[in-house]
Parts: sequence; C-alpha cells; structure tokens
Amino acid sequence: MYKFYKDIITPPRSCKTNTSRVSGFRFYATAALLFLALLQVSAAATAQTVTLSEKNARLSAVLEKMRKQTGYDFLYSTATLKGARPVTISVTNVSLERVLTTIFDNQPLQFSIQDKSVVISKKAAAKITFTVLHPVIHGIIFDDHDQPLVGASVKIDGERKSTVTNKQGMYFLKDPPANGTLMVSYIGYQNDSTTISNQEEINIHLKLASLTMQEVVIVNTGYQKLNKERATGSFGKPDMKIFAERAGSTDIISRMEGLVAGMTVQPGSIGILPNRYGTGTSQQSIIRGKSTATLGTAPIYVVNGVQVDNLSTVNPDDIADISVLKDASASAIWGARAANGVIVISTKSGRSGQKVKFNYSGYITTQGKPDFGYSRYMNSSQYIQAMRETFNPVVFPWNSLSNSLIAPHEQILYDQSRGIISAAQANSGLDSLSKIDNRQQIKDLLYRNAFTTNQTLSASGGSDIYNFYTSLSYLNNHSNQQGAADNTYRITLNQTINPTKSIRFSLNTLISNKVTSSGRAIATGPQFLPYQLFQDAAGNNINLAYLQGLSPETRADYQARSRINLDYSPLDELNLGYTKSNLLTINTTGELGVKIAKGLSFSGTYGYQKSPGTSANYDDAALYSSRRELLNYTVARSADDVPVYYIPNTGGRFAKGINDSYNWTVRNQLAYNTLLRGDKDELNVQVGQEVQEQYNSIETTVVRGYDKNLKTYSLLDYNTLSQGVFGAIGSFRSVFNEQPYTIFYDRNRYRSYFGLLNYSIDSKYIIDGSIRRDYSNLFSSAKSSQKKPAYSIGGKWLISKENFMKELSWIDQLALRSTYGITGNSPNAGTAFSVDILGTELNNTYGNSLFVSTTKNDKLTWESTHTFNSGIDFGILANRITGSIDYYRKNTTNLLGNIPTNPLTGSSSVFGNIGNMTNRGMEISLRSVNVQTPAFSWSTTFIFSFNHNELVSYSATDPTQNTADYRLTAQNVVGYSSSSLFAYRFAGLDNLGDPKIKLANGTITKEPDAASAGDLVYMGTMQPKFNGGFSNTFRYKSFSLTANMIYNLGAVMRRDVNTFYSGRASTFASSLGGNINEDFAQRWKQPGDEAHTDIPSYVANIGIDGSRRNTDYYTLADINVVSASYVKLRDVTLGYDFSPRILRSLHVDAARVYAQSGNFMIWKANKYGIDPEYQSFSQGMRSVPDFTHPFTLGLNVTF
Amino acid sequence: MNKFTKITIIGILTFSLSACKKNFLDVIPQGKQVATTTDDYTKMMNDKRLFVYDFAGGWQGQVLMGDDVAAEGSRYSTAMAVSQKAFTWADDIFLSGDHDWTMELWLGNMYTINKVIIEVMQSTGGTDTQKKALLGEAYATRAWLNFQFVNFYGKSYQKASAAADLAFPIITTSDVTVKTFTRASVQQVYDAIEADFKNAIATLPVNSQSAIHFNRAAAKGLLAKVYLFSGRYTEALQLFNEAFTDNAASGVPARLYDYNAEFASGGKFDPITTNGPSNSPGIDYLDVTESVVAKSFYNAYYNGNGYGNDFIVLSAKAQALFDPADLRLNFYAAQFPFSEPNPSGRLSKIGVQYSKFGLQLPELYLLRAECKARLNDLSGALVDLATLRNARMPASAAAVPAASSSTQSALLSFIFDEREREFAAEGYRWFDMRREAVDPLFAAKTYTHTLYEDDGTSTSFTLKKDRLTMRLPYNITVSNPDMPNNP
Repeated sequence: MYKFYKDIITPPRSCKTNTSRVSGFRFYATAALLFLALLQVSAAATAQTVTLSEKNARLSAVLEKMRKQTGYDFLYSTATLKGARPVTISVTNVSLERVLTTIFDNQPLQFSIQDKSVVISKKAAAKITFTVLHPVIHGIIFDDHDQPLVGASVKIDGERKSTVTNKQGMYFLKDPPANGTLMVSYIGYQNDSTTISNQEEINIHLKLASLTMQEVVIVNTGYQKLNKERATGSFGKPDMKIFAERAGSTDIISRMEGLVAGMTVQPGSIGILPNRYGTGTSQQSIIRGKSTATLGTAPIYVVNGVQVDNLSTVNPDDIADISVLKDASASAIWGARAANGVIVISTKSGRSGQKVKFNYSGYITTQGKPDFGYSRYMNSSQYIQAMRETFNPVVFPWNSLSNSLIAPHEQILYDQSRGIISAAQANSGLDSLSKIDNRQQIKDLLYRNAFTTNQTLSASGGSDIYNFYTSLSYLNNHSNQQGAADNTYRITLNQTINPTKSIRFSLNTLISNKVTSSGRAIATGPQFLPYQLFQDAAGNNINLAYLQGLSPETRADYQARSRINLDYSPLDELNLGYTKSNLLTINTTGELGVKIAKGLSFSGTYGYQKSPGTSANYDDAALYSSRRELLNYTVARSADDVPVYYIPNTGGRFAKGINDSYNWTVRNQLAYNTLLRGDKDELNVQVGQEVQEQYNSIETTVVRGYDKNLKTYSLLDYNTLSQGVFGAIGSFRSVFNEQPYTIFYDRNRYRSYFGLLNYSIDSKYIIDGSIRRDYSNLFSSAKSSQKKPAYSIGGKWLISKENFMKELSWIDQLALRSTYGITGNSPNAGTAFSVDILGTELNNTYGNSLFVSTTKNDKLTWESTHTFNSGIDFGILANRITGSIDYYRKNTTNLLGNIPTNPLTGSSSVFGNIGNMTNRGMEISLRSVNVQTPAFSWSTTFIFSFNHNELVSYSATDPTQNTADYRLTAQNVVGYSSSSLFAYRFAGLDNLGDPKIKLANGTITKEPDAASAGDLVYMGTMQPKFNGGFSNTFRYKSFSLTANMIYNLGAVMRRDVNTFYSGRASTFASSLGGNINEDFAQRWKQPGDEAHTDIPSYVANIGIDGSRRNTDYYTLADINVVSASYVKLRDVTLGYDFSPRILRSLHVDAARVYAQSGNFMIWKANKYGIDPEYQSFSQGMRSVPDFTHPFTLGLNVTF
Repeated sequence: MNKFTKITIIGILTFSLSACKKNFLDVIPQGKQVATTTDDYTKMMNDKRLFVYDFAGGWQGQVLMGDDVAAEGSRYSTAMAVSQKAFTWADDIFLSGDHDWTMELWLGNMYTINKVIIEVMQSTGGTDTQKKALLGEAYATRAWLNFQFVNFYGKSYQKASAAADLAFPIITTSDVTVKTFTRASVQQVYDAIEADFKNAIATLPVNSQSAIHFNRAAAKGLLAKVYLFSGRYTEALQLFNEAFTDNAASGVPARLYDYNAEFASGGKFDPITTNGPSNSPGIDYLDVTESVVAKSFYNAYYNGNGYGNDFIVLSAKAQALFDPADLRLNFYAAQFPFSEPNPSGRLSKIGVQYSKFGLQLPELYLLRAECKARLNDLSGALVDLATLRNARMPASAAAVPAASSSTQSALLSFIFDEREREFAAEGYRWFDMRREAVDPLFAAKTYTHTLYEDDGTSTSFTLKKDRLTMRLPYNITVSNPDMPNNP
C-alpha cells in the first residue's frame, strides 16, 4: 500500500522547485501545477471490463468509476480536463479500451494505455505551418504514437525560460543559448532533454513513463516519512504481498524472514526468546549482525510512530507498511536504543473521497502433531540391550537405591542379580519389554492436531474531512498440547480528521485481548523410556508410581502412615489443574499536525499503551505433586497415629497474578521548510522533545486449600511453617517458604531532545543529519555518563538526474549515498550501577536483611555503535531490474557485559564496559521482472546479506578466559566472532575407551583439565555469515504461484551426540526422560574398539568417570562440529483470483483464494539429517519440530 | 482557525512537557537500594550469608578430610569426584568445571564485610555506639574469615617459620576491579587477625542482638583460640576467662544442653526416632543454645552443590573413643541418609543437618581446658572437662580416667579425643590434625582413611604431610597466575 507516484510529495521533505497549495492534509504539493488524481492500485484483483450507464456525467466522475472497476490508474492533470464535455454512455462488460475510445471520440482529449495506467492528454489541433520570424527555437513534442502533446512543459536548463506546448503540440522559446540543454516533461511520460547546439527546430518524442515510472516508496522512521529516493539512509522494506500471505506464522517478525536484506530472523522454536523488556516472548531477529555482547540483540519496534514492547498485539492483516531502519542515518533519531536497528510499522488507514469498502481475509493453517521421527533416541529393543550391557549392581548396589527411581527393566535385572528370579525369567521379562513401543500412544494420547486460524473483517472509507480504517479479527492458536486454548480478539480503528486545511488530527487505536488456558498436560516424546505405555489394552490409565522414585515398600509405608494415595498416572492429571490468562492491550496513538505559518508547522505524537492482565493458576490437591508436597508436611510416626497435616489436604493451591504495564510517549516537534537559491534548493529543519515512561508490574497472591466452588481457602501459619516442620514423612525437616503475596515492578524513564535537518541542492544532491540526546534513569546516579549524543550525517547523489546520464537511456535511476553516525544500546534498569546495589530477601527468622546484589563499577558508560554505510540504488532496462547494494561497517565501543574478575575480590564477574566489536557486511536487494505479458508474468526477488562480526578488543583480559572451559561456552573471544564456537582437537580413544585430545604443542592426552584455551580449535561462528531469500512469483491469467526460499550459510553447530557415559540412565525417567541417543550402541565396549569407534566407553562409577577422563573431549570435539548451512523452501503459495464477471453478480469487487505449504529442506550441508532450525548450535541438542509441513487455505474478499 | 487558537494549542502542549519535574529520572528500581543509613548497614550485617551456609560451603570439605571418618564403598562410588578427592586427600580437589563454594561464599562475605568496615562510620541516622558495634562485628567477622583462610592454605603455625610460610592474601578492599593480590605470610595473617579482633573487642557490646552476631565474649573467645593456635597460652587463658565472664554477663548467655535431661522422657531431644533424636541442636541453624557466636554449614547428604556426606561413617578409631554410656552416641546410628540401614553396622551421624562452626560453648570449655593443660594447670583443665562431660553423659561415666589426667601429654591427648567425641564428623578434627602434626607434645602420627567395600575388603589412603595444607583452588590459581601455589 502507501504507493505514491512520482512527483507526489510527502512532507516534510518536498522536492520540486515549484510549490502550490493543494487540498487535503499535505502541506505542500509540487506537482507542477497539476493535481494528480492519484489513485491507488488495489491489492485485490482487477477487472478489465467496464459497465457504465451515464447520462451527461462529468468526465472526471466517469473516469473515477472506471478506475474503481478496473483498478487501472488514470493519470491526467486537472487542467487537461478543463473543457471536457459531459459523457453519455451505456455499456455492459465492454473492454476498457473500447469504452475509452467511445468516450474520447468526441472529447478534445486523447488517451493511451500502458500496463495498468491510462494517460490522458489534450488532442492536438490540426497541424499548422508557422513561419518563424524571430530567432527562436521551436519544435513539436510528440507522444509515443507520434501524436503531438498539448501542454508539455519545455524549458532551458539553468535558465528561467520555460513554456508549454500549444494546441498543436508546438513550443517556441526566444533567444535560446547556443549550447544550452532543452528539457521537456509531461506527466505520465519520461522526462527528456537534448543539447541545443545551434539547432532551431528540435522535435522530441516522449516515451510513456508508465513502465519506468517507479513507485515512490515511502520510508518511515517513525519521526518522519520520506520519499525513499530522497533518503540518504539504508532502509529495508519487505514485500508486503508475500508478508500478507505468509500464513504459516502469525508472528510479524517470522513473516519478514528472507524479505529484508541485512535482517536475519532466527527461525523456528530456538529463535523464540523472551523480549528485552521481560514482557513475553518474540521471534528474535538481528539486523546487521550482533553489535552487543550481552544486551538484547533484537531491534526496537515502533508502531504508528511510538515505541512498543512487542508486536504480538498487532494483527498482520492491519499492517500497511513496514520499514526496517538499518544504518545510523535511518535510525539515529531513536538514539540510545537504536543500535540494533528499528522496525517501524504503520497500520492501514482510510482515504479521502473513498466509498466504504469491506475486506475479509481469513486462513486456516494446519500443522498436525510433532515430528517425533526427527529425534534420534533408541527404540525399545536397542534400549533394553544397552541397559543390559550397562547394568552394574556393584557400583549401584540394590541397597543404596531405596530412594531412587527403579525402572521396570532395572527391577528385572536387580531381581535376577539378587536371585529372586531366574535368568530365564529375567530374559523373558526383558524380551517382552523390548517388544513394546510407546510412540503411538504418546502421539495419540498426549498430543492433538495443531492448527491456527485468523479471520479479519475490515472496512475503510472517507470524505474530505474524515477518513477511517477499522477491523475486527479473531486468531485461534490451537496448539498440539491437550486441553490448551489460545484465542486473540483484536479491534483496530484508525481515523483522521481534517477540520480545517491547516489542522490534521489522527487517532489510531488497537485493542487486543488474548485469552489463554491450559490444563496439566504432560509433555514427553521419544526421550521417555521407549517401552513404557500410558494406557493398558483395556484403555485404563497405567499407574506409574515408580517414576516418582519411591520404592514399593517405602511407598506402602508412607501411604499407610500419611493416608495419602501415592499412585501416579500422568494421564489422570490433565484436568486437575489449570492456568488461565487474560491480557488486554490498548494502544492508542494520536497525531496532531498544525500549520502555523508559511513553511512552519507543528506536529505532536501522543502514544499511550496499557496492558492490564490477569493470570490464574490452580493445582488441585489430587495432583501427584500436591500429594507429594502434602506428604512432606505430614507428621505420623506410625500407621496407627492420626496424621497431622501442616498444610491443607483438600482443595488446591490457587495463585492469582495481576499484571499491569503502561508505556506513554509525548513528542512535540516543530518543522520548518523553505526553498532557497531561487527555488533550486530546499531546506527542512525539525526540532523536538520527547518524554517516555515504561512501567511493568506484577502482583501475585497465593492461597492454599482453595475450594473452587465455595471460593474459600485455609489460613496458614506461615511463621511456624517457615521454621520448618520436623519429622514429617519423607522429609527430615520441611521448610515452607511460600510467599502469600509478592509484588514486583519496573519503571524506565527517558527524556530526549532531537533535531533533524535535510538540505537538497538542485534535487540532485541531498545532505541530511540528525542529533539526539537521551537521558534515562537506567544508570541511576551516574548521569554524567549519559551526556553522549546519538547523531548521524548523510549525503546522497542522484546521479541519474545529471545531464550526462541522459545518454545512457538504459539506466533509469542511479544514486549513491553514504552515511555515518552513532547510536546506542542501553541496558535495562538496574543492570549496572556505579555504586553497590543492595537486594533484600525475606528472612523471617532473624529479621530483615540486605545483601550486595550488584557490585559497583563506577566506570560505566553507554554502549555506542558507530556506523558507516555506503550504498547504491539503481534501476535499469526500463526499471525491469531494480535494486540496491549496501556496504556497512559498524564499530561498537564500550560493549556492556560481565567482566570476569579476580575471585579474590569476592565476585566472579562485574557488569562493565568490556570492549569493542566490529561488524561489516554487504547487502544486495534485487528485483527483476523477467517476463511481462498480459497473460503471463514472472518476477524474481533476490535478497542477500553478508555479515562479518569480530570482537576487536576486550578491556579486561582475565586469566580465566584462557581456560578451555570458559572458551568452550564463551561468546566473546578477542579476535573472533561474537558467536564463536570452539572445540577440542579430537585424537581418538585410548584402550579404556577414554577420549584423547591433541594439545597445541602436539601432546596427546586424556587428562581432565589438560587443555587451556589455546589448545582448542576455532570452528567458526554460530551466526550465519550469508543469509537471505530468493522469491519467484509467476502469474498466469488468474493464477499466481509464489515460492519463497530462504538460505542461511556459513555458520557451524555442534551435532547431537550421545552424552550418557556414566551413572544410571533411568535417573532421568522421573522427568519423563531416561532414553538415550542411539549412538550409544556404537560406543567403545572392549579394547580394540578404539580402532573403529570414536564414541567413548561407559564407566558406571561417576567418580571414576569424572577423575579418569573427560568425555567432553569427545562430545565437544572438532569432529562433532558440522556446517549449519541450509536452504529451505519456506513457503509456496498457489493463488487464484476469481473472474470479475462471476464476482459482479455477487456484488463483490475482488476475491482470491490461496493454498500454501512450506518448510521443505532444499539443501543442507550436514550429512547427519540435522535441520539447523531445530538444533541448539552451542549445545548440540535436537529439539522436536512441532510440525513437518504446515498446510494453509486462505481467502481474501473485497466488497 | 485563527493563529491565536493555534498558538494556544501549541502553548498548552509545550507546557505539558515542561511540566515534567526535574527529578523525573530519579527513580531507583524496586527491590534495589544503596546503603546510606546505619540501618542499612545493620541489615547488611543481618544477612543470612554471613551466618549460615545452608546450601553448600563452610567446612564441608574439612569434614571429609578429618581422620575421624571412613567411607562406605557402596555410597562412595556414586559420590561426586570432588568428594572422593577430598576424602583421598588428593592434591587438587577442584578442576576447572567445579565450584569451590566454600571460598566463593567466604570471599563474597569478605566483600560485604570490608564494605561495612570502610563505610559504616560515614552512614547516617545512627548513633556512634550503633555504628561502632557494627564496625566491631565486621572486624570480628573479617578476623574469623582470615582464621579460616590461614588454616586452609597456610602451614600449621610454627613460630620459627611463620614469617616465611605463605598463607592467603589479606583482603581489605571491597572493589571488584582489583586485579592483583599477594599471598601474605602466616605470621602476617595471624597479626592481621589479632589486630581485627582487638579492634572488635574495643567496640563490641557485651550483648548482641542474637547469637548470630558477634558479642564481646565471642570475639574474646575466638582471639583466645587464635592465641592458643599460635602458642601464646598466657594471653589465651586470660582472654578465655574474660570470654566466660562476658558470656555469663550477656543477656542470653550460651549454655550447655544437659543431655542427661534432654534425652530423658519429656526432654527436648526425646524420643529418638528413625530420623534420630527429635529436635537435635543440629537439626537446623536456628538452635543457638550452645553458641557463643553461631555460624552453621550444611553437613548432610548430597544436595546438588556441596560435597555431601552420604558415604561417611565414623572411623574405627573415632568410634572406639566413645564410652557406651556417652549420650552423644544417640546422634549416631548404622544408617545412611533417609533412614536407610547400613548393613555394615558402622555409625553415621544422624539427626544433624547443620554443623556449627562459629564458637560453640563446648569448644570454649575444651579450648580453655587445653590452654590450662598446656600451662600445666592440669586440675584446672579437669574442671572444664568435667563441666562438659557431665552435660554429655551420666555422672558415673563422666570422670576422666586417672591414666589420662596424670601427665600433661596424656591429658592433652584426652582433651583432643574429647574434641573428637564432641565434634566427630563436623570438620573440627582437620584443624586438630594440623596442630598435632607440628606439636612436640604429640607423638608423630600417620593419618589414614579407610574405604570399606561391601564385600568386606577395604582400601586405605595415607595423608601426605604436604596435604595438611590445602592447595589453592583452581579458580583462584587461574585468575592469579603469578601467585605461587602450595607444594
């Protein structure tokens, strides 16, 4: 949306030499005396036939009707239509061209159609021969059909002389300079110019501009909207058509993946992380590489000019436009928080003079059940075999396990080793276990088919003084978890009021209500004991009390004394508790624009967001965890004693959370705009002040013995319970530390001053700059460190506007731009202080207390990023190929992070300024129209980003950083990428199956701690060096096919290897784990095996395992680091636009259906079947994908 | 709309911004504050971290290193490597991935304590007396910490070599940006401890708010212990006597439990259950009845971050020291944690989760007895011994055997044995082993640890003399590459 055409100017940067007042809220329009009936291309499908029934109608009105019916743009000047005759016509489903021919037959006007535009001009009168009496230059300006053009503007470059062609298309200019340049322009046609060279007659044929007429892309910094052609900064804009139909995700960031050069979206579940404000999670994205060591790497989000915490409240269907601000010139105006880039979102609005239109868009995406087949755990027979091999009743004597979990297979093995059953009985028991496979039950009983659906109904319209856009939407996120619900209801109302010509007021309101609930579903998969079923053959839930680690004898004793049932069946628990939350978010933004005097205007932005929410947690006393907790507070010395329960044994635990957050922004700015140097230059200045506050709070109240029906609860003696209950069953001393009421709040405040300046010379050279100073409460008393301003300067040269470029007709646009500036990245409140910060804790035994929670560092300052950016924008071959190339270099100084300290100081680390980091990279965006015929078109978009990140210096070099341990997990190593991955140099296994490594000096050793940092090998970075997207759209008649590929190349990751080498695997069954990696079967088992396996031996004794060897030498070895490069077909969409003929009878303007699927791996660099989107790169763990291929069906109707 | 209206609108809006107060940005996040008032420092000295190491830390490693314990193989094999290494007196207990919680927590304490010492006198809102009491407590705490450090990493005090033997750095700053520390000599550390205790004694009140805070008796008693450890017996005895006087004069004096009464029907520790005596003094860190100054550490089964004592049993030697009538045996049973019977019949401590290692009144009696014995006041020593033993067992068994009370060295041995009986498996023995080893009054000893396997076999480990002094832990050596480590 938001497409404007050339020469439509948006404030505050006007750009042409001529100004005139126009109606509406635009302060200045410059369209050379022309008022363009500027008409938007509807996103919906367009009809190419017209039905009209008019009697003496105004031509302009008839054109407007045709525009609406066809979706074609009509380009003409108001002057052109002067003298047009009334139109009388009656046609039904006649082609546009025929209708136009009919209408224009008796008009003094002519038309031409090109692509989807109709250009209207005056008919030239019959040719007349003139005798030239004076030394003048003259000629005729023709259109592309050799018809003379009336009213074309002709001027001599650099002089004030200008004229327009007469009714014959002729022009005359007196006393032309012998070597001047003649310049011709006409709306809808490409400008042309030629050198005079003493000629007296110059005829020029203008070319239609429709094809080459580049849409004027508007970029939005949140502070100002700029014509992209005139912006010096680096801005990215996703293809909104692809964005709108990416139904595979409801998340705005995910939908932008591969669409913006320089923006790396971390896809999949591993990319969903808590946001920097601690208010929910979001899909992470990094713009132009990590430029911080420990602070958030996500960009800041701006909706309708105001910063917001997260984007989840915004309905993607309501979004009109997204600008990604990448360099300092684009983002420096956001100051101390802009170093990670800024994503600016504008929601849709209505338009003046538009009839009310409705749009419905909806889709359903089905995802199915998790893809358990992806994981690499053992099946039952492999598992039983492995467990037989590792069974060790000497290291783990039966007597020592009375409080440990004994899995069924271990029970059989111990029974055998203790002589309770024979070897034959044991074998038959184990064999029968090895034949059971629980995977189907897990899939059927623990999960359900997931789907997502979003429905949006919107309306928009407007008159001269009021316009609006409003929408209602419903989003249902039906996850694969049993008993869960997640519904979001949203209302949007955007309105603009223009009470007078000099005042404009708009109010954008988003209301979102998210209601979620979940039961007490258990989540497990192939990581669980593979033979353990949850239901028996009769469909009864199986009692799995053994999972809770009490031996049958102990359990019987506890049950008898406490009279509490200790059976456990996971499936019974689902409905015994719930978590419900309800979050309402209201986001309103008011914008006021007032023209004060010529060139001077005021604008104010007033944003207020409030998100009150509640959450309720109920856990019934019947839940196993509740029963087990009660057991720890039950005193009964024998089965004959009446048990004393110190906490309630009925009802449940009920916790109510009330959270609230608000965020307000007040911004006032003054803008001044003037033309200088004989209207050749233009100056824009803006200054402003902004104040912002963010506040979050959460209060939680907990009651016990809560009766859901009566709403009653029990009173507890917290003081006594906190001293401990002695001699309770199953516990020596149980201490109850629950706090019945807690409150936490967090408040950040900012005050900022800023200024902006743009200066353009001859519409060819543009210089701009910005400055901003931020003050906040984040560093508490150390305000002196806040005085650093953020600023930027930039320049641009529109080369294609130079005369010498006229010759190169294949170049349509070419511009060079360069910027430099400083932006910051501020930490959250309370992270760092120049004085010791004390924390408090509840200590009801000896009274209140304080402790040093954050040690002081008085040398703190803002982290600041210096960005240099240089770019080139181009359009060639009649703009069939357009694109831009950017190079950037970002130096981040005073990185904030934890500096390791000497442990003798009493602290192992302190938050401080740790060093400098650089990012440099290149970005390419290319769009090409490969084939363009009325029936078929094919266009391609290619997005490429390269980033190289390096930590240049580290102010505090500490010896601990030279340990292998530190470096294996360190993200910050001087001279390497900020996401570097190091590994041991593997040197095989020894004759005990213990892994050996090769040190830097060539020594081969297995000694634990033999390696220091220098003995590790650098494997690469965990951030992709190259990433981007490749999209192709094919259209054949009413069908369209879009395929979007994404690629991430150049990163490395650890692969998932076996990590079980010691102890008992079944220990983890209590958390529904216990299974092990199938590689375990290939481990070293006997001397000689080291010749053909790298997988270390199993050593039962944990102490020996820990002191004799280090199995990390294998698991974190170089041989287990693989490339994480891959290419995926993210989504492929087949769409069909219904024919207008059918739609008209239904009174529908446009309708489109589409089907989509995605997540197809095209290529991956590793041979282990790893999908990097489900791999933790540093840990080398696989997570189970929630789906294999989602499938979407969507519908979009406008009426 | 005329210009006047416009200007009015803009005027109002601009005013709305400037109306924000100057202190708009002066908000401190919730739950965080800066120490300014004396009350803030009072609360800092009330921090749990200074008096209870309830998760890990304290003398957990020393418990495993004392020769009063042995190990049960079936549990030993599943114990953490650090526990096994402490038990076998390995040179280096901690590897790169391990946490030495003891030192981590104590060095954190040191930061807080130094901060209080440096800043408290400038705090606002308190009286001079209040500030000085806090200062005194902080000095005493610092001295107590340094006394731990010097006995971990410095050789046993010997006057002749103390000035040359390397101990531990003396830390007097609270600044995390300090890079370099130097190991002070044993003598320097003892001097610093003496100076801090003397400063503390000068300002501490006789009464403290509770036993978790130092009072004058505690500072005097501990300084006396330091004198005793460094052979200054006369000064020590003088201070021990004063400590008893000050303790008696304090509001809630530390007193001995009379086990004869407490284990009798209706007594505080009655009845003895499978979990041990009800309400033993070691059941938590709250029972400070016998504490002159109460500091506790977690001394029970493995809980994630400590060493765990699951595999520990009394050594045969220690078990043999007990008279069957000794009521302290009620705190032992052939039992593993969770009331699991130990088929071997060897005894483990039960009913004790926390061990106290500040200054316990029983130790004060034993220290004074030792001091008197060293000054050849054998009868005086016997009086102190009798006071303690009468509270621990029936009078019929309480008398010190004549063979043990006849000579100075026999009595000293008896007193050390009594220390073992009173504090078995609580870490005290490690410090006594260090003193015995350099004391000419004690016969030369070889210290061994026995690991009993289920099949009846056993393995024996012998303590190298060097290992009476611990090596600096990994994280300290790696951050201080120029610091010499112990051999």
